[in-house]
Amino acid sequence: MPPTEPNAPMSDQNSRKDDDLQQRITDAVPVVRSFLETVLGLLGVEVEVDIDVEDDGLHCDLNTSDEEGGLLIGRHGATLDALQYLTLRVLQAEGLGRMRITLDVGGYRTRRERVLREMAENVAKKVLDNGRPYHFEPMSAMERRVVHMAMSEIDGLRTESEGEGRRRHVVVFRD
Amino acid sequence: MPANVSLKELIEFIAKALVDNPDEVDVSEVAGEQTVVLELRVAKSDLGKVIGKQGRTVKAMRAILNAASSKLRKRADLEILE
Repeated sequence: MPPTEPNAPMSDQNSRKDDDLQQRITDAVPVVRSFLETVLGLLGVEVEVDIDVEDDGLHCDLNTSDEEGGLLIGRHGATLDALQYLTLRVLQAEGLGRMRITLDVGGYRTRRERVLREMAENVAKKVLDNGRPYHFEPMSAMERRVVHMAMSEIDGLRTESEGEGRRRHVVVFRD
Repeated sequence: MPANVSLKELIEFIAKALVDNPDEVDVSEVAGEQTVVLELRVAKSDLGKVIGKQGRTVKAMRAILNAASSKLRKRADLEILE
């Protein structure tokens, strides 16, 4: 690399990294499909797996009946989160490395995200009003992220996560 | 309830997908009156792969197992044997 062009190697490196990510994402599609179809088959759930390739990973919609959908989502999304986490781990075991994997059943994630955003807005008003810190219910990392993001759009508040493991939750403070 | 839901096969499949030595994955089902215990054995070098950071992987496997066993109207637990 010629040292006279300090920017060139950097951008080369970045685009190589991006190409590599795109390649890994493409390679991950059949792996993810086969893993999910087999696990869901062994769970006795009839399901159609739709996989969308996105910039930073894969989005998988699991299409099934409402009853089976409820089973796949689980309590507060526990089953869906578990399946999503295992999918990520399987990709690492296959040497495909890190990427974003989201699983959804019947728009559950989208609906839940809307509910969380609404909750965040109500809580923000309350905390701005009375100045007392507000502790959310414990949530998964993904859900906490939604709350942190929603709160970051509001001036005069800051958020932290407190507690360990399944007690980890978002706390909102007035600045 | 469908009789084709096999907890053992389910855990075996997931574990094999996670480890470097799938041939050394062994799952045995110990049936109790109300609870089925699945005992998972893997190669020593693969223990971390099935347990995960702060036990996240084994927790995730237990969550899937719960969903499967609720279909069978049973309780099931997963133990990793060293």
